[in-house]
Amino acid sequence: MIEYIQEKYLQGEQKPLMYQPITPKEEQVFRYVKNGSLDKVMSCAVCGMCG
Amino acid sequence: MAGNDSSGKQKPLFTLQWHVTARCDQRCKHCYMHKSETYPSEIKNELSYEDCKKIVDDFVKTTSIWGFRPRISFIGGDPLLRKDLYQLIDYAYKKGAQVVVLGNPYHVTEESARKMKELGVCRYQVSIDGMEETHDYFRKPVSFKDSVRAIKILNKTGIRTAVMFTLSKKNSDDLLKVAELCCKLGVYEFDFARLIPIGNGADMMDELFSPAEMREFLLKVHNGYESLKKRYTTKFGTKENLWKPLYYELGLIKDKDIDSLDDNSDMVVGGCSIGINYIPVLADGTVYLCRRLPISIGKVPENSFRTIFINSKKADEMRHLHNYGCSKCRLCAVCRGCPAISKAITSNEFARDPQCWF
Repeated sequence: MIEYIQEKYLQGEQKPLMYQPITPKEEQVFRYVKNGSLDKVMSCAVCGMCG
Repeated sequence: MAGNDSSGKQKPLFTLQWHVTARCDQRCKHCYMHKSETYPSEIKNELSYEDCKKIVDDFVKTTSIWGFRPRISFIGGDPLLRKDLYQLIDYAYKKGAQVVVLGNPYHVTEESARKMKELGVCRYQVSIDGMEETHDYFRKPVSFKDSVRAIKILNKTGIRTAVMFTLSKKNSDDLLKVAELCCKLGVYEFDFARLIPIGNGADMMDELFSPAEMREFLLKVHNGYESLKKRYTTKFGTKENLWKPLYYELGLIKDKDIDSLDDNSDMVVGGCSIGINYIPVLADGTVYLCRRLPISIGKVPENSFRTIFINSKKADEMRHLHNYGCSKCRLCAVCRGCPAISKAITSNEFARDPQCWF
């Protein structure tokens, strides 16, 4: 599969998303999680207790 | 180390809340799953082990690209009713995921606990929704005693235990009693979540606090927790987003804390984890933004997590403050209330949280 994708890529087709590095939009979505800011405001997003 | 970033700091977690089966030994009065639209499909179209492996592969790879540590919370129904759960735990752990199980107490035995410990499960969460009479009213007879039994076995095995309490008027007087019981049992973490009136719980609208009652309740619990913290080591979670307005009023969150986070980009920066670092998957592969907010945004393993989470129009809407009924609130960027409660009560997930007083 990877070889197939690489071949297509070499032929000028865009790589599928899962083989691309993180995009600017993704960087923006995750920026606060990554710098630990969420911890400062005690977030559901860091608790891990779901249900 | 794979779990650290280039500066050596531990990467943050991204959680997959994975309802690997809808099968369950209980029919809890507040269950959001049973009687839901997806329940028949979840029972009929439970994902195969091969599809589950594809989902693990995709999740671990995607979170790696995003710079997170993957955490997989296996939940149900009762996940222990899946015959291949141990295989799945083993596969996920060996792929590098932190593995947590959220299940019923009934199938926790010394043998199953030892097996889970050997396979890398780091935490097991059970529910206790009140002291014995109240809890058994919500769940089933002898469920309370069985939960306590399971906690003792898990603690003895060395798996951290967590207890979740689903809050309604019916059991609110028991919350601090359950919290203290958990402290005495050596539970690692205790937290509560508000009842979401969907599924079986749709019949319990009258059990929801008014905004003023909610504030009064949280203040009582805050003081109760502070007292327990002096005597015990159990941690008290702050999953509930309405802690934010209370903490702000008490001076525990200050304006400078919010100003240091909010860059006026119209993006949410904390509070509810929808669209931030959490994604739930149902037993048939349907992907939601929150398990208690019944809006499908895709399906796995047919589609990748990356495509679903980033490209979903609904996920994008939910990350932008201007869409919320409380967008002018000082705390909106770090709170958002609970969109699942808003949806259940007003049919609009962006409506102001009906239980918020702030």
